[in-house]
Parts: sequence; C-alpha cells; structure tokens
Amino acid sequence: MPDPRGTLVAEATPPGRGSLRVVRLSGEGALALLRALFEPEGFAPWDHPRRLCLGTIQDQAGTAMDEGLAVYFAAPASFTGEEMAEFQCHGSPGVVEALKAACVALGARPALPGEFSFRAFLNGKLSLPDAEAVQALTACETALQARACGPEAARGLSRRAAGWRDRLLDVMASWEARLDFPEDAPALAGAERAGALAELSAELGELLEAAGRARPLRRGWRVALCGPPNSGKSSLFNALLQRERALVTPHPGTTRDVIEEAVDLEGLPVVLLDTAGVRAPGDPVEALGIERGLAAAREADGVLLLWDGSRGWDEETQRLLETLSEKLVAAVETRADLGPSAGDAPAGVPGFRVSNTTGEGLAALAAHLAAWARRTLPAGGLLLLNDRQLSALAEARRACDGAEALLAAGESEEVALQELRAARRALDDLLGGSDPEALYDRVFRAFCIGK
Amino acid sequence: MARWDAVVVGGGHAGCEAARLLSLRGLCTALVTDRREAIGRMSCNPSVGGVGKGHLVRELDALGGLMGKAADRTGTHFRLLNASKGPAVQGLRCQSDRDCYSRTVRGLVEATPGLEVLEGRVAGLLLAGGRAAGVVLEGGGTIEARAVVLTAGTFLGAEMHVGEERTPGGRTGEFAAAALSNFLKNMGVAMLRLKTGTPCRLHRDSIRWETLERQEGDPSPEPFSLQSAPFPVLPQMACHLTRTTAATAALVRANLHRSPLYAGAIRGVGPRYCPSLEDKVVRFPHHETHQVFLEPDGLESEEVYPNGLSTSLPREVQEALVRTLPGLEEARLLRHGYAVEYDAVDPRQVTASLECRAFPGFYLAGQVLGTTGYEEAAALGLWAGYNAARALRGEPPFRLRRDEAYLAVLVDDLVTRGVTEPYRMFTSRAEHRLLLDRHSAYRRLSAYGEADGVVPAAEAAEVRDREAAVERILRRLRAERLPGTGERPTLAAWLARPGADPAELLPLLSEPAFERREVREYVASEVKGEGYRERERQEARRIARAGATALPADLAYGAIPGLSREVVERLTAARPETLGQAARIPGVTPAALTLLRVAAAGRGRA
Repeated sequence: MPDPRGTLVAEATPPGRGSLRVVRLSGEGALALLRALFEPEGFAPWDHPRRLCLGTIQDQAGTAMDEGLAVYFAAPASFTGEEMAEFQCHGSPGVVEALKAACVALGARPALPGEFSFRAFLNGKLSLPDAEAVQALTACETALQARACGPEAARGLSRRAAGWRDRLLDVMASWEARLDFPEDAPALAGAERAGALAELSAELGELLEAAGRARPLRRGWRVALCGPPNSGKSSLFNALLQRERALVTPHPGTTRDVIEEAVDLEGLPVVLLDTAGVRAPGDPVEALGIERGLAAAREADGVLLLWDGSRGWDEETQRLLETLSEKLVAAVETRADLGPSAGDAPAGVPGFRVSNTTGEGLAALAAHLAAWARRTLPAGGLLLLNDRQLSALAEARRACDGAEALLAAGESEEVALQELRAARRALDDLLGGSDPEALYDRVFRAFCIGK
Repeated sequence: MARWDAVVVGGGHAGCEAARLLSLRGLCTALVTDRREAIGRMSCNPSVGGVGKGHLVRELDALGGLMGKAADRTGTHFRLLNASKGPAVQGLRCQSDRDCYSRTVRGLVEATPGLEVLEGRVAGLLLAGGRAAGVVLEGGGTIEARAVVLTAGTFLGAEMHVGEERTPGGRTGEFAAAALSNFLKNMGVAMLRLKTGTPCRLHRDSIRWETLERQEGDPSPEPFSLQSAPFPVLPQMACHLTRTTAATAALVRANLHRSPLYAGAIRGVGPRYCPSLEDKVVRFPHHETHQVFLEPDGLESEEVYPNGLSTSLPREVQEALVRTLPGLEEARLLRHGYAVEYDAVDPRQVTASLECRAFPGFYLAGQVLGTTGYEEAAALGLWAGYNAARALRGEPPFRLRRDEAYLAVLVDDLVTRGVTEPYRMFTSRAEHRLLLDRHSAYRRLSAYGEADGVVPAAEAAEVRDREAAVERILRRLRAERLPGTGERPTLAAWLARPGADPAELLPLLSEPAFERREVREYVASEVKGEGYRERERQEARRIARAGATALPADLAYGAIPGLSREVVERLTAARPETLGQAARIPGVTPAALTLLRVAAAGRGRA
C-alpha cells in the first residue's frame, strides 16, 4: 500500500507530445511548491482558489521554464480532499520533466498509478467502488468499456449495494430482536419478512449473471481462428489486426503455438487467437501445437472456421466443424482473390468470403464479429465489475442462500444469522465501510421492546 | 503503609463481586457503603438473567463470582428462555425473592475472610503522586488503601422524578452522592447524564389473579451455577400476564405534559430497550397494547412488580392508569414508579482493566460506567476485582478475548466504543456468540479462576471431571453407530439432526455422567454446533490476526494526516490498544484504519 503521507506529483495528461500538459500536486506542501515554482502575472492562484491564473513556471532556482496557468485547491475542497495544485504548461516533454524534477527536488514524490484516487478514498472523497471506477476508467481501451465501468456505473453499483445492505439489516434486525427479546415475541409478531431474503438473493443473482455476461467486455471476446493447415489463419489474423503480427509462409504447419492479440471492433474488445492448423501432425512439436490450438478453441467465446476456397470444403474442415460447432461464429472462405470456390460450405453455416490480399469481405466479417459480440451482452445497463466486486457480491449471495438453506433444514436463527453476518460483511467490504451500531438502531426503531 | 490493600465504594452487585474477589485473592479489603442492610439490594425488578444476561451470570460463576449462587438459592421461578432455539441463544432467567436475595448476598460478603464492611459516604478520592491512595468520607475521615474500586451505581448526582416532584437520591429513601460526583468532575473526569426508571409496586391482594394468564416456571429448572445443589431451594411461584389497553394509552397521552420525560425536566438518556410507558405510547403509536408481566417480589412479600409499566408520571396518574389494565381494576399501589437521572463516567476513560487512565489505582465498575442491569454490573465488578488484585500483587492484567467470553465483549464494547445510552448485554453483541453458549462457560473460564485461586479446588476438580466425561462421551458418539442394519449413522451424526433428543441415546451408552441432564445437553450442544463453531473459530482467528497490530499508547492521532477531526476525537477518547480495537470504534472507517496502520508501522520503524 502506498504511503498516505507526503506530497504527490504526477503528470495528469497522457505521456507523449501534446499541445497542453498538466502537472498535478496533492498533499500538504502542494501550496508551498506552487508558491516556489509559479510567479503569477496578476491574480495569484493562492489568493483565488479554484481559479486559473496566468504566470511564469520556474524551476527551484527561480529560472523561468515556461509561460503557463496554475490553479490552487484548498483542502478539503479538491479531488483528493487534500491541498492540491495544478500547472498547465506547453506540451514540451522537456518542460514537464524539468517541472516534475523541480517538485521532487522540493520534497514531492512521484505518484504511483491510481494514488490520487487512493488519497481521495482515504479522505472520504470517493467510495471504494467510485475509486475503483476512476482506476478502471484509466485502463479502458474502448468507449463501451468506459461506459460500463466508469463513475456513473459505479454510483449505480454503490446505490444498489447500499440498498441491499439496508434490506439485509432489516432482516437481521427482525431475527435478532426475536432472539434477544423472546419475552417480547408477541409484540414482534408481524415483523416477519417472509421472502425478503429470497428476493435479495434473486436480485444479487441477476446482477451477477449480467456481470458475468458483460465479462468479455473487460477481458475481450476471445475468438479462435481454426482450420486445416494453410487455410490462411495467420493471414486473416494479420489482416484483422492490420499489421504483420503472425509469421506467414506458404508452408503448411508454420504456426506452432497459439498467439493472441486484441483488436477494437466498433468499440468492442476482441482478442483474436491464431492457432496451428489441424491435421495429422508431422512432428511432436506440431502435435503439441495442434492440441493447444484445439484447447484454445474450446475455451474461447467463439470460433472462426477457415477453409481455403481454392481447395474446397474438405473432410478435415467438416470434422472440425463438427468438433467446434457450438462455438462457431462464422465459416470463412479465404483466398477469394483466386477465383470461384472449388466447393461450398454446408447449408446453414453462416459464411463469409474474404481475401487477405485484396481486403475483400474483411469489413463485413469484422462487422459480423462485432454484431455477434454485442448480441451476447446483457440487455439494459452495462456494468463491468472487477474481481473484488464480483467476489464480494457472489459471497453475499452465497451467504443469503446459505442462511435460507439452514432455516429450511430446521436450524435456528442464530446459526443462519452467522451467514447473514457474512453477507453483510461482504456488502460492507464492497462499499468500503461498516458500522456495527446500525443493526441496533434498526432493532430499536422498528420494535417496541420492554422486558 | 495503608491499612487496606483495596477499598470498594458501594455494596451493590458490582461492589460485592469486586470486594469478594479481592478478598479471595488474599487482599485486605474494605467495602464502604452508606447502609449495611442495603448490600446486594435489587433496586428494580426482582429477577436475574435473561438472554445475554444469563450468559454473563454463568460466566461469573465459572470465574468465582457470587451472583449465580445467590440467584439459585433465592429463586422462586426459573425459566430457560429461547428453549426452542440453539444453545447459543438460550438464556436462564429467574425471579428471586427480593429480601432473601439481598440477605444471601450480604451473608456471602460478610462471611468472606479478609473483607470488612464499613458504613460511610464517600466524598472524594485520596491521591498520592497521581495515584489513588484511598477515599475521603463525608465528614472528613479517610480510608487509606492502595487501590480504590468505585461502584456507585446510579447514586452519583442522582435525582428522582415523579411527575413534577424532584428529589435528590439514587433509590427510594436513599441519598445522592453529590459530593463525590462533583469531586470527579473537578478532577477532570468526563461524565455522562443517564436516566433509568422503575415501575410502581402493587399490593398482591388487590389483583384479580383468577382473570389473568398464568405463566409457570420450568418444571425441572436448570440452575445458574452447576455447583448449586440441592436446587431449587425455595418453593416455586408463578408470574402472570396482563396488557395495557387503549384507555392506558389515552391516559398517558393526556398527561404527557406532566411527565418529566416529555415536559423537559429530564435530559439524561435512557435505554431504548427498557422504554418507559410514556416512550412506548409516543414512539409506537401503532401498537394498541403492550404486555405487562406481574412478577412476585418474594414468598412473603406483599409487593408485586409490574414489569413493563415503568413510568414517572405524577402519582395520581399512575394510580389511574394501573387500573386501566385487565386484572388490575382495583389494584392498590404500595409505591410509585419514578425515573432516576444520574451521572455516569464515560467508560472510554478507563483501560481494559477498568482502571482510570488519568489516576492509576482507581478502578470503576457497574452502572457508574454506563451499563444497566444487575448482571452487567456484577460482571464489571468481578472484572475490576480480578484486575485490581492482579495489579496489587504485581501480576499481569486480566484479559479475555471477545471469542472467549461475554465478559470480554462487555468490557471491550464499553472502553472502546463508549456509550450513548445505558449498555445492556445482548447475544447479538457477541460476534462469535456460537462459541459462547452457557454449557461451555466452565470449560472456557474455570481455569482462570482456579489459577487466580478464587475458584475452590473442589469446584475446579468437579469442572475437570465433567469436562473429561463430556470428552469421553463425545469420542464414543463419534465412533459408535446406531444399532440395526443398512445405513447406520454414527451416534454423533444422529444427534446432530435438528430436534434429536440426547435422552434417547441413554440406553445405548452406559455412561453415568450422561444420566445427568446438564451433561446430556452439553454433549448435544457440542455435537450439533460443531461445524458452525469451527467456522466461527477460524473467523475469530482471522479477525485477531488482522487486528493484532499494537497501537502505541501515546500515538498522537491529531498529527496523522488524513484523519478527520471527528475520528481523531474518538480515537483520542478511547485510546485503543490494538488496530482491531480501533476498528470497533464507531465512525472509524477502513480508510482511517489504513492511515492508522501506516502510522503504527512508521512508529515501529523509528
């Protein structure tokens, strides 16, 4: 865990050449650094927090480096909740590096990835899911990913989880009240919340199911390119990637191992897997490659089955179709530039005809892949969960179901409550906070307990 | 050299346990009380135990306390609450003969060697070099001692309210320790203003018993102390049940402006789980009726205690409203109900030894630390006794883990979290309650009592014999199978099924110990909860590991960047000893814990 003390410095804009670059400071000392490294022309940023001010950016010796803007945020009214300052300077990497070096020379520390969000979390500015969303967002490669894991989606998750925890506490309070105040039991009758737990579990289940279906959005849809040797898999792989990634030769059996690369298709991340052609192997290494390729295909979300149009649909291709039919996204006839096919794919198999040489059919195939991927996504709002969130929600659901099962098996409430405490802990963990008193407030708000 | 090793101020449930424990440890102990005959008095309802509270009494017994034995000798009505639930939440409760109870406790106290009862009113503390060195009495006398245990109950700055009347005093007919309260405030001790109340008392012969629902005790009751024999001692009596009516609620509402609670005379905070009748009517307007238990005060007593009718409305209103309950149409009041406001010491100022951080050698226990209930008070008294005795003898402090005893939960909750209302024990406060059933109390705790020499050797030997028998029987149950053919489960598997009665195994096991009911129930409880308890133990270990990091006693919370002012205040008030304890302080977020962990680690390096 990073040290929550000290002043952080980092460039807030992506690395590389740009017209404008932002260097950000957070922590006690940010203001002192700003004063040391910025000479305002007119308004001083420290006199006018949250306002961009023009001036000269200088190094620690007072030597001017750049003309730029600076802004100061007083704690706690900032993103991290700490004292913050930002410099906006011209896009030269030299200036940015010199400015960062000056900050470090004056006591700041280069920030680790996500450390600003971490500070914001520590200072109560971001909930845990919110903080995670900020981090996840920076790792997103496609627009759809960004929508599904960004702050908006995180707020939705926080809201729902808080709602579930609330309802869980209601159930727990009513059970606990009956255990701890048995002599008030008649007064507590009617507090029964039959089915509340089942409802909760069902909702958790729905979310988990949707999250499971949205999972490829995070790691990409894995699509294996399969087919007999020399059917053009590596060529198609390179063509879809639009670069020469796989080695392509006229010799069958060139690809020995599975190679994979991600490609963005209409905003959807797709991971293409190039595999060894399937035939009676020529040597043990190729045999291993074929086995790996088939294994990759079996574990992939989808398969493109390639066949060489100039050779026709042969028995080997037919056998592969039968093996992989469940995963088949499309059968792709390659080498369309070599003239009409020597034989057709069987009826009912969605087919494409492409030429990696002329590019014919490639766009249609890519569109088909994207449409296929989109169809597998859950309807409604998209939500991308990280492993921590997924496991917390899965634990909450398991525990709710466990509690129901214990009661159904004739166990008494205190045993089932052990499970509900686990469910509550999971939701607390998800939200990054817990309050043991909450249960009592509920017991005493809802029930009149006298003896 | 002081004449006394320890002086205990107060002769209530906390004071008696503390004083007796100190004496049993060979320390010369004085118990100072305003009136000798008030020792061990039950100020409110004539009953001991309940769910959570009953657990405390059994634990007290395992550690050499006296409450369980006193209750067993004086009980007139015993019930096991939650009998249909699992052992972890079953609680023993009894009605005791009020006079007989206090006589018994006083007898036990006076018979303790090395313990002397002195009459007097304590006005302040003697200090020497910042340490407690005895007490100052009203009138100027002093009692010098190396340690002081204050168990002042509800007497500090106490004021009783009935309607518009206000009288200084902590209990009907008794005094208010105003001087002592002021002394503590002047020493800079932070105080809380709390409130409690008690119902009126009815004349036995004015109740139409025949019209009321009768509630008998258990036909063959279980004692609090497994050492109690013969048991029960006294003839058994019944309780009766009645209910408030719409007319009761109407009367309360019409007179709310005369209730000190609602007219603003009382600002102390009362317990939510023991609401006054006024509170019930105001806060739960949708409840048309509330049940009231009519509890006998004793075998010879004319008094009946209407449990559920706590009120501080004016006297004439109390008389009228009692008569709105079925069976009480002609009831005569022997005493009126009242509310008591009193000063309590913010328990975050004491360590887990219950020793005041600011004044070493000064211990506090009982209601004065913000609890409610005889059992909680007794538990704190015993705990303070253990710790004061160990400190006086130069031994390490007495500590138990939260997964080891309700006593530990009680003490840890108080000193870590503080109180906003009088604290009462519930099983739900113990996150590892499945490990804390009453059967296992002796196994969990007797060895501590024996080690400190406060549990007699004979009792300790009996506990060991019982544990050995239980172990032997458990081994047999796991090894032996049901007779017959086909799939024959082990006896343990059979017994683990919900609803299985261990008595049915009697013909299969020729074990004399198994013929004792408490052993059968202990065995059944061990078998039934095995899986859950193992999981609970793992969980307890996980939590212990996560919270084990020690926090330096002088950690400057204010100097840790990122901690909110509120969190700094709470940490400074409670001074947690470990990270785990800090995590239990309300408002201390996971983020704050992260900062604390870093601060503690930073100190460790320096």
